[in-house]
Amino acid sequence: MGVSNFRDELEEVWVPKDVGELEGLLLTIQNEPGKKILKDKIQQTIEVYRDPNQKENYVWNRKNFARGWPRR
Amino acid sequence: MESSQDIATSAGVGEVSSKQLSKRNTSNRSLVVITKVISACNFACRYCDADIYSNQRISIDTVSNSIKKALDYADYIEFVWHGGEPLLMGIHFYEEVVELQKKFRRENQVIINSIATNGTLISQEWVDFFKANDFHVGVSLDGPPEVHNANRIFKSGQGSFEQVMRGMRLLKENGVNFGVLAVITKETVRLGAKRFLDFFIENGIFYIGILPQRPALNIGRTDALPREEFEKFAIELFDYWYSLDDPRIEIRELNAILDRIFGAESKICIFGGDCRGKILAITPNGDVYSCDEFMFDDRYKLGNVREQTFEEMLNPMNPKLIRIRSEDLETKKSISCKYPKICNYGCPKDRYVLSRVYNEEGTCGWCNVIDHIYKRVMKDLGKIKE
Repeated sequence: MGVSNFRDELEEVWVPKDVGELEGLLLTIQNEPGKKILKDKIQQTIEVYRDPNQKENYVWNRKNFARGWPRR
Repeated sequence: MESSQDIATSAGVGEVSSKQLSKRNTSNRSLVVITKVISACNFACRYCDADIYSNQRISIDTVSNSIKKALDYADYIEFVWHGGEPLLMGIHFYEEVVELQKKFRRENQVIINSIATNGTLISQEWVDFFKANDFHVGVSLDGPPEVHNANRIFKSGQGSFEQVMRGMRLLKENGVNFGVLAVITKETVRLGAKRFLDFFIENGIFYIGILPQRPALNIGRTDALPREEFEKFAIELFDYWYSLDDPRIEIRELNAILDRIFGAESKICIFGGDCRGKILAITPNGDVYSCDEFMFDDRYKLGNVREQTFEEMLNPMNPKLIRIRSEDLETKKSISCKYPKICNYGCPKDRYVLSRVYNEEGTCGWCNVIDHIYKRVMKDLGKIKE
């Protein structure tokens, strides 16, 4: 398994351009069987980005720290 | 007298309410302060890179300095109590810590306490303290006995698996939320990802962090799990976890990669981007380093908390901080994969180790894992064909 085996792949990495795109994605897969991890993760991200003030809350989410996992 | 629980609820120690945060300016400063409270341990883990033999203990005076100065500097502060084995300091030490936090805390500051323990010293008394003061507990458990006991041993040489499980049972029985941190070693790789994850699920442990075994540079050892083996294991782990499709099971690093793919901020530092100046580590004598991952190298020492403030040490014009940031930029330049948008170039320590110890330029150590996860997600979203 090499280090730089993606260098020649020219396509751009997709990142959602806005929350609307994420909402569209969620709608697309909503009724498909399974994909629960993906649906859960997209839903969480939408909730964060619907309210810009929640962005910091997401990083400093108590639930995450409750695992005893330091942010570092 | 105000109880600790009152403080946790009304004053924000350990409690981050969305209402509270939504009122705050998001440009407010955050800081993670990892305090190595003791250079001693009841373990002698084979891969450990911490100082566990000098037996230094942090003084209350030094802790008081660090808490006061951290609370003077930032509005969101996570105190990570680390060692050695931090429980060797005794409960009274942490009771004083909580009192100092109450004393120096300003209105609306958010304080979180995390503690990383090997789990063997956890007693009912500790459990009661953790609950009363909302300490978040991370327990080190590498997997089933044949994996865990291969490295995580008492000083006598005896494996610690049973004692760790006893400590975790106490946490579970008392409703203390905790997560497990597992170091991935050659023994884990031999076990395989499926059996690794099945072990945790069978034991009711659903929150797992994975850390590749890194070279113990503090003590001059360079043996570690090769990057290729770690990446292969992490990919197998992702495939199995993803096939279970149960969001209740959290694998910290894999969740963080999914967060980044969907554009959310990483909840862990390795994919979080610019960590310099936001994560500090303090030794028992008060020396302050830019992250505990660099305590082996004095060039990363920013000062001493007894003599300087965080304001001074983290001043963007501090030549030491400028040098550290400049070195970080240099190691980023060689990253050649196409996923920096996702990994934010990974952890500076991983880049440091991979490039300087193993002559592997151009990777943060997660490129293949991210490539695998990214392509799988894109396929499931219908964005690429198989």
